Amino acid sequence: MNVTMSYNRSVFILNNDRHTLNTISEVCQRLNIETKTLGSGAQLLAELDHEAPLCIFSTSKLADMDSTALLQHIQQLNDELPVLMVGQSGEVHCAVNAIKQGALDFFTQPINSRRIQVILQTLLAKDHEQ
Amino acid sequence: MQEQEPTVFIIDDDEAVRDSLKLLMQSVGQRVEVFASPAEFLASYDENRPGCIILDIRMPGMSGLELQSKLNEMHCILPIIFITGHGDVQMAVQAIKDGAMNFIQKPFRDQELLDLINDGLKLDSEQRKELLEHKEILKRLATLTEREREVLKHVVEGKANKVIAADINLSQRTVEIHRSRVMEKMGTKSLAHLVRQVMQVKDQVEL
Repeated sequence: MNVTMSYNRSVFILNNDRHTLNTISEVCQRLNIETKTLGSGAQLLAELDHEAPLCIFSTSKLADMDSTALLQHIQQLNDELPVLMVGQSGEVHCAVNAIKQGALDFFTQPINSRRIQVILQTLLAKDHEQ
Repeated sequence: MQEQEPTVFIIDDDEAVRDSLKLLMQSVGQRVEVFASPAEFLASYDENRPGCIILDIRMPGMSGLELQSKLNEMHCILPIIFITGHGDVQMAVQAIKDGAMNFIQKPFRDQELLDLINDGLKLDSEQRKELLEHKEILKRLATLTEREREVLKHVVEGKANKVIAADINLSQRTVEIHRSRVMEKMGTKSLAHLVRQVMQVKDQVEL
């Protein structure tokens, strides 16, 4: 499986609703980034053992663990991995905790594709620098 | 001056909120001052007064976030607890990224706020203590001669006297003398403590 057209690292998307998923996928396609969709926190953590993605877009409400725990696990594996949370507009508490826990940002649904694009471009530029 | 009693500074444009929070603070014997606007608070701001800030995130005129960035520019160390409404996620995220200690979402229970204030006052007192220590270290560093600073720099890098002597072209005996003067002036007898002192202020001074 080493035939890949893209030089970019892929983006992991965790458990998001269809609109969020489509928006992120579209932006990634434009930027020539592959995406990998994961169904649960456990699956994501297992995947991180094999691959270091460019970043992770995760829903704030996971079925198998709470988002704070997820962030902690991710940080233990790789504390420089950017995590972007997607949640509801009422989740002030959750958003603040996520940022304190080291998430790069917290978006409310519906997410704005321009903001996603700006973030991804910034991350790509940083990644290529290194 | 250091023993000043901490004050909770409440900034909210809603008079009813100000009154009820003031009452709450007074009911637990907490010193409190209320302000109807960021401008009013800035007019009486004194960096030497300890405490913490309770700040409404949405206000006409200068918003809570704008006051926060202004206070950041002024190197204000008072911890800020924001009061936010439902749906203020983006603002709350911004506030935390800019260093707010915490936030509380309306409607909240009194005890919730009191707990946060306790954390805020504790943080403030720790930060002030640290700041005072830094000032003391900087003061001591300023008394070193140029040679002593140079020796200190090498000592902190973990070099032995013999190596330092060779590096800066002095006799080992002279380095030893400088080194003991440095320890004396920095008010310490242990190398570990000396290194820790320098590390504490490494962002503020270059050896």
